[in-house]
Amino acid sequence: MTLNKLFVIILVYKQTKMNKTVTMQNLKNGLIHFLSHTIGAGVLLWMFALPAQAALELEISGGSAIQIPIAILPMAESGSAQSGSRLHDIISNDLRGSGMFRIINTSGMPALPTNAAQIKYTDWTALKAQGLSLGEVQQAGGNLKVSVQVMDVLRQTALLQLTYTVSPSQYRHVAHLIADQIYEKFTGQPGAFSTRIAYVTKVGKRFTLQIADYDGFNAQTLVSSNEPIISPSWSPDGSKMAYVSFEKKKPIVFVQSLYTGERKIVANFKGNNSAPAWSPDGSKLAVVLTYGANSQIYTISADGSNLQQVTKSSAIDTSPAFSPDGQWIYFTSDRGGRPQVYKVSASGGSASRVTFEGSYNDGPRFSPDGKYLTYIRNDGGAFKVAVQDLGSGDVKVLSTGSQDESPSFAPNSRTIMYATRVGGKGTLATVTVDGLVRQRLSEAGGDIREPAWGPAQAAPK
Amino acid sequence: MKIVLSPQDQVIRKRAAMLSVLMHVLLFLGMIFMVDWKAVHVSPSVMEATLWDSLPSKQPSKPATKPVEPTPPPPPPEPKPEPKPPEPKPPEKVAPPEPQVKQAEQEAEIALKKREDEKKRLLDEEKKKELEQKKQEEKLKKIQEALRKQEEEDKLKKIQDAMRQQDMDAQQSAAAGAVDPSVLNYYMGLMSRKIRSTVNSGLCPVTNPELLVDIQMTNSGDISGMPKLVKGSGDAVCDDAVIRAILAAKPFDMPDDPAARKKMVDQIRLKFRPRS
Repeated sequence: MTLNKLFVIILVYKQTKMNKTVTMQNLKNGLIHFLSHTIGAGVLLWMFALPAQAALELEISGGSAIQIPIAILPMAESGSAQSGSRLHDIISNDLRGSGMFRIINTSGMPALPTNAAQIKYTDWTALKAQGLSLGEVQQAGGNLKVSVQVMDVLRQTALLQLTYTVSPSQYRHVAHLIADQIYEKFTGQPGAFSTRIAYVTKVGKRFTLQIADYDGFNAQTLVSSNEPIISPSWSPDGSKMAYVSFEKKKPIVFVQSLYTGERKIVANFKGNNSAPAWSPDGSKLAVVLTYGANSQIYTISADGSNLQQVTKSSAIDTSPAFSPDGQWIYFTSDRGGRPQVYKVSASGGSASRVTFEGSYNDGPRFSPDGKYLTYIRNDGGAFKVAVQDLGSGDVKVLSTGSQDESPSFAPNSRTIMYATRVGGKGTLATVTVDGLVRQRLSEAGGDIREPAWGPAQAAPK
Repeated sequence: MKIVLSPQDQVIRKRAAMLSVLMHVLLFLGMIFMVDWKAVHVSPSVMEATLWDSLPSKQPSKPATKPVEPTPPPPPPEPKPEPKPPEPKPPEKVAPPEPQVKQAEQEAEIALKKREDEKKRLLDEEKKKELEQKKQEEKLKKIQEALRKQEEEDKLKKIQDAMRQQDMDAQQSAAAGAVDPSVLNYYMGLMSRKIRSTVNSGLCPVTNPELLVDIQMTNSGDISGMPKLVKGSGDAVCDDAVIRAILAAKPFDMPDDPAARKKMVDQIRLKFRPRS
C-alpha cells in the first residue's frame, strides 16, 4: 500500500469519525492541515536538533604512531624463586623484538610499584606509558607461582590478571606466555613468543637438527649426523618434523615424531628426495624428486604412500610450499630462464608465474594468514629477504645481509625468521613484516642455517 | 543630543561646581593679600630718620623689614630727610632751650609709643593673617586631597565599569557564538596533530573504516570523563587503539579567547580515518 493511499484512508476515517461528509474540499482542507502540522513538527525537531549540530567536528586522517609504549617492571621475587634470568627482561625483549611495542626505560624511577595499589598513574602518564606490567614470583613447593597484572595506564584499569604455576625449568617459557598475552591484548593478534623454531647447526663436521624457543634459548637436539641435514619442516600441529638427511649418502626425506623421537622415511626414491613441505591439514607433503629426470614437484601422503606428480616440465622445479588454503603449491622454477616463483594447483596442472620483479626469486613461504609471501631475492648481487603483499602485489626487501636464506613466517604472520651470515658464520635473525625492527638471535655457537618457525601449537618440551 | 545624567553623576557635578566656586574665592582672597603685602614696601625709608639718637635710654629699633603701614608717617624733626645721619656732635650742633627739649621728648615718646603700638598691631594683624592663610592652605589642601581622592575613585570606577562591560561583552559574544574562526581553527589543528601522532593506524583494518568519537573538553584542555565511541570500526582493537590515542594525546592547548575556549569546551566529535 502506498503512503498516499494510507494518508487518504486516515483522512477519510477522521472525517467519518467527526461525522463530516467526505468531500474533496474536506480532503483538501485535511491535507493542508496535515502538511502544516507536519512541517511545524519538522521545524521544531530541527530546532531541537540544532545544539547537536553546533558541536565541533574534527577530522583526523591517518596516524603516525607505530609502537605502543609500555613499561615492564621487575617482579618481586621471594624465597628461592630468583633465577639467572629475569622475567621482565625476557618479556621486554619479546615485545621489543616484535616491533609493536616501545619499552619504556624505568631505570630513572625512584620507586617501582610491585602491586596495583602502589601505582602512581601520573608518573606513568608523564612517561607516556600506555601499559604497565608488574607482579611477583613466589616459591610454591617445588614450583614457581608467577602472578602478573597488566594495567591500562590511560584508563587506570586492569587489562590482564595472570597467574601461572610452573616448574623452575619453565621460567623462560612462562615469560614468553606472559608476553604473548600482553601482545594479544594490545594488538588483537596472538603473540608468537612461546613458539619454537627448528634449525640446523654445523659444529666441525657434525650436523645437528635442533629445536629451541623462538629466541634461540633452551635448544634441544632432535637428530644429529655427520652427513648434512637440511630443510626442516614442521607439521601443522607441531607434533612432527620432516627433514632431509644425507645420512644414507643421498638425500632422503624423513618424518620424525617430536613426542617419541620415532622417525620414518617418507621419500626415498631414485635420485634426490628433498624440500619437504606439509599440507595445511598435515595429511601430505609436497616433495621434490628427481625421480624421472629433472627436479619436479610431487605430493606424498605423510606415511609415504600415494605419490603424485604435480609439475611436469623440462625445467628445474623446487622449493614447494602449500598455500594456507591447501589449494595451491607455490614453487621456484627456472622455466622462464631465471629462478622465479610460480604457482600450480595442488592437484597438478599448468603453472603460472607469481614474481616478476628482479632476476632471482627463490624459496617461497606463505604467511599463515595467507596475506604475504616471502622469498629470497637477488638484490643487486646480494641475496635478501623480500616480502610480497599478495593483495596489492607490492614487494619490499626486508633484510640487509648479502647471503640471507630460508625465510620463514612466525605463526602470527608478523615476523620473519631467516638465516644470515655474520663473520663467515651462519646465524639467525628476525625482521618484522613491515621491515621496521630487525634483530639477531643469540648465537649458540657453530654455524646455524635452515631455520623453520614452528606453528602456534608448540610441541611439548 | 540630550545627555541624561544619572543621579550619581549629578551629585558629582554639584560637588565639582561648589569646589570650583570655593577655589575662585580663595584665589581672589589670595590676590588681595598679596597686593597689601606689596604696599607695605612702598616707603620704609621714611622711617630712617635718626632724630632720636640723643635719647640715652631708648634706641630706635631698626626699621622693620616687614611691611609697615605707611600711614600715619612720623613727623620728621628736621625737614632734611638725609639718609645719612650727621656726626654725633649735638652740643655744638644744636642747643635748644629747655622747654623745647622736654616737649620734643614727650612728643617723641608719644610718637614712639604710637609707633610701637602700631607695630604691635601690625604684627598681630600679620600673625592673624598668617594663621588665616595657614588655615586656608590647610583647607585648600583638604579640598585638593578630597578632589584627588574623588578623581581616583572615579578612575577606579571607570576601570571597573570598563572591565565589567568587557566581561559582559565577552559573555554576550560567547553566548552569541561569535568566535574568531582563525583562533578556533588554529587550536583545533593543534588538537588534530597531537591525536594523529598517537594513533597507531597499523592496528586498524586496511579497509580504512570511519570511527566517530565524542569527547568533552575541560577549560584546562583535559578530557572530562572517557571518550565516547559513537561509531566503531567493527574491529575492537582498532577502536581501542583510537580511544587510547585520544587519551594519550591529552592535555590539549586551549585558546585564551573566552568565546573560542567556550566553543572548544563544548562537545567535540572526532572523525577518524586511521588508514588514510
